Amino acid sequence: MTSDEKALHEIVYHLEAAWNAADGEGFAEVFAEDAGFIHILGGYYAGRDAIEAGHRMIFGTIYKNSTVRYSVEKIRLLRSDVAIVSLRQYLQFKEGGVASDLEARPTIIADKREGKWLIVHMQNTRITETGAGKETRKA
Amino acid sequence: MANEELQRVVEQLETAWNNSDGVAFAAPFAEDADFVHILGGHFTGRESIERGHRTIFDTIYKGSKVKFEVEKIRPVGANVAIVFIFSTLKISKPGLPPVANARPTMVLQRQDDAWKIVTFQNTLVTPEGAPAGKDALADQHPIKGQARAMGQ
Repeated sequence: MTSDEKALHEIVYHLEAAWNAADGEGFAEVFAEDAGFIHILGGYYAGRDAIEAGHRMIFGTIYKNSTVRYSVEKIRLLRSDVAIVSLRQYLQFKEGGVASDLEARPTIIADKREGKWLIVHMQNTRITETGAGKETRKA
Repeated sequence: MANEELQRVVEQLETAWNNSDGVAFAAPFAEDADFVHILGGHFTGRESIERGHRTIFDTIYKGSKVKFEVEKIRPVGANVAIVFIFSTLKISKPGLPPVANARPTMVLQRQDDAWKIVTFQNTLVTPEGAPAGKDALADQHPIKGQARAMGQ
């Protein structure tokens, strides 16, 4: 693994740890200040502050005590300082007291400024139960 | 100038969709492009993107009309850009919501003097209080259960 790939994996671990600690501020800190985020329902958060506020809200409500796990499916370096990271997201949460889970396919676009990778855009798409089966990507 | 070229790519996709032309739809994609469709399935490569669109143009979205509005273009250094689109799809199939809104986002890279789409991701804009539309779309969508074959 190259040092860039390692740094990108670390961003993903950071997101996961922050989610599981219900830490909105921690979740947002790997985003650029002017980053965007299209969430699973198609809404758009503009900027790190909105990303933080949005996640603080879901961590305190629908996704309270939820657990997320991300796996990195692919890292595509478009340039030495621009990367696209394709993820799978597995989320366990309680819906009206009943254990539920959700799978999604978030994608991160990151760029490297002064040696540091930051997310410039993240977008999530829910994998509908009937929609996508359990396809696997070739390694 | 880059913005005009990127805008033209979006128009090309819109025209191809409205002509139900899978080949023209896939043309601006890079050969190894990744496409995450609205139900979370994944097409790898221009060929499977073409096949997938041909399938939906012949079935669930037959006769549909789409409008792609560019919400924002964000350059990421030279030769790479993120294009944010708001899409309005008019569906003419009974049992489905007449209109579906979505937010597709594309990353394009200039390759050999042309902008190519390297990744495309679509997310349905879920109208609050009307999740039934999403379920109906998923139930009737021909891509369901085929993601494995398509992704190969």
